[in-house]
Amino acid sequence: MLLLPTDIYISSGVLTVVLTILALIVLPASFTSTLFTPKLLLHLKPVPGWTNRLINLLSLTTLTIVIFLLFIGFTGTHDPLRNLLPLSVWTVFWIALVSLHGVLGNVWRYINPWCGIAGQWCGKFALPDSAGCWPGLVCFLLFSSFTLADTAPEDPFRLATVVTGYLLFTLICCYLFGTNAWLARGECFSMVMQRMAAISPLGLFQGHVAAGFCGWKGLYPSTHLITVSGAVFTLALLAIGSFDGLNETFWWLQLIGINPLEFPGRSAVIFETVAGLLISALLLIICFVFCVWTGSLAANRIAGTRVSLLTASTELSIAILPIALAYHIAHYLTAFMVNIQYTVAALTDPLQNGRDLLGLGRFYVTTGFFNTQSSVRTIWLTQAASVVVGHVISILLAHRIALRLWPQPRAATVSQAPMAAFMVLYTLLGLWLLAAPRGA
Amino acid sequence: MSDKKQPAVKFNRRMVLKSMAAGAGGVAAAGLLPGLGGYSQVHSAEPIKIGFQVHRTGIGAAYGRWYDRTTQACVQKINDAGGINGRMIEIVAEDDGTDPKRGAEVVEKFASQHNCDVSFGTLFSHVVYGSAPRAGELKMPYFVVSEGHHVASGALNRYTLQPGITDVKSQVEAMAPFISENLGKKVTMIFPDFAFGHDHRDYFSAAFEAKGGTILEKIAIPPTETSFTKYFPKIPRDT
Repeated sequence: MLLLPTDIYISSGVLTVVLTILALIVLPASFTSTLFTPKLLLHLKPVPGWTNRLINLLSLTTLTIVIFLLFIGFTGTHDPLRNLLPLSVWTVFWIALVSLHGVLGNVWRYINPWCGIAGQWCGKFALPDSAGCWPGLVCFLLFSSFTLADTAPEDPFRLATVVTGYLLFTLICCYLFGTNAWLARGECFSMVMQRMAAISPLGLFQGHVAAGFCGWKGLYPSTHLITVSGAVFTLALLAIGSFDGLNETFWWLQLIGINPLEFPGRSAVIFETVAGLLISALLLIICFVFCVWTGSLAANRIAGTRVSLLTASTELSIAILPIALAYHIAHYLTAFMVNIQYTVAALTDPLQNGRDLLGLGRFYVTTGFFNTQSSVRTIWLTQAASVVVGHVISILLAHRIALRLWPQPRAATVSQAPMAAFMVLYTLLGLWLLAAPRGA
Repeated sequence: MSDKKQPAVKFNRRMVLKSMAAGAGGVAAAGLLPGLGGYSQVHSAEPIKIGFQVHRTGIGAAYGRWYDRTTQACVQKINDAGGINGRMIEIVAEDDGTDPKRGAEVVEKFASQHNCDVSFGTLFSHVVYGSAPRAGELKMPYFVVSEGHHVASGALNRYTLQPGITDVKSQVEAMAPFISENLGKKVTMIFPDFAFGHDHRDYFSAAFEAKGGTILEKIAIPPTETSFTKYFPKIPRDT
């Protein structure tokens, strides 16, 4: 990225975020309230039997596809860019499907591979309230460690083993604790999807299909999202998303004493990576709570209210979701552009026996768009735009949530001052990450 | 497991070396065609299994992409032409993640899981260093394309071979006389301040000075540096 004037781009991005904050001070309080009011589009008449049948069918279809992919993973080629399993898991599922949830809403709820079999399971034991979303957080930390620190997360056989294990583990937990409870608080991917879907402009509201400004659904969160553990999960999602990017920079490699021009491989930094992702999650939580604490102290004094730190932090944690989604899109955009081509190539010949099911003919994966300045500029600006737009939405959403906590506009605005500084710095971090030299 | 198919004849190091010595231009860019001679007497329909240790992920992925592309093109050309002595080539690709530990695992898989005859494909020296001992223990001919001096210097083992590519020492020693005869006698070296750059610094300056040249300045650039421009003013005027 040395060829691009990224310092100018970064300044412009940060300036956009600053201007959004200033605009919110000037604009009337009703602005964000109106902005985040959804429009009801289509009245839905639920037909319980059919709805369940449709969900079962979708879920069982997913399960069949997953079993087929696992078969390919266990028996197919060992090349991770030709085997359909790693391409489906990392490119289609983790990059594309998670990002799409920010547009389409919570599709995963209907197409996950478990609800077809386990949809009606009520569980042998109740998952205690005190367990909160902690089981899901543990699963997510394990998943992140596997993604970022394992030496071969893309190895088809290894991945097939892990996916099979996770599928069965989830099924057992659904049996033990009930499917709805486990998918909402223990199954980390459902939890990620649910959070990303909160940013989607589309959703169900008061028995209608509704559409509104991105993030409106964040104002009506499920109760477990605004518990302490739910908020910690949300913040960890952003922190680990940011660390997955930071861990490749020269800055990080220097910090852990690695020559960035001579990266020794993942096996040499397993401990550092796992420690890094835990520390970044912890640091982000501390910074976030500190901002909310100082903001709410000031707001409570102005408004004469007693909004607790717990309420303010958990409710406001929803507001960082647009940034998490934006980072996800920006960070994985380039990997997606290349690997989706490998996915198409693998789809046309899933069993690697020379078939051409999609009729592609001679198909070569191209990475030519990384070689010309104009295409690199377009890619970089798309990533940067994603980061900036994510922050702008976050600021607007945070302001709206603050208005709900402190209806007095001045108090709400003051409560957001530390958070605004945090957002500006986080924009800077995000854009710097995109431009920073990478050695791993 | 007892009925596991074994190739009719396994390659060994001597056969590979013999066939290479026999020349015939058989060693393609990535060392794909060993073993021609050793098989001329054997009639088998078994494919020749070649383990391709490829940098699919990690810092070497961009190289791996092209190594894979040329490998596939090469194999297709050979197989379309009827293979080698009637035996098709089968590439077994495994991602080493550009990681030495994973590299050793992959070499082991080639030998014990895939029954490969030979293996090849590694560029990054740290992966070669990590994998070569295992290749030696398993007596698996292991062709690498790293440019460090380690293979040529004998630092690894007899099973690790470096075909069709030279190492840094040979490159800079070959270049030094050309520079002293055609470009000038006073040279300033700018090099990255770690092993790769140090090889250039040490071998080039020795070879250049032996040819009567002078190294005016050796400017080491820290590996964390992202811009070289601020080092240019340090180049002595009479370079």
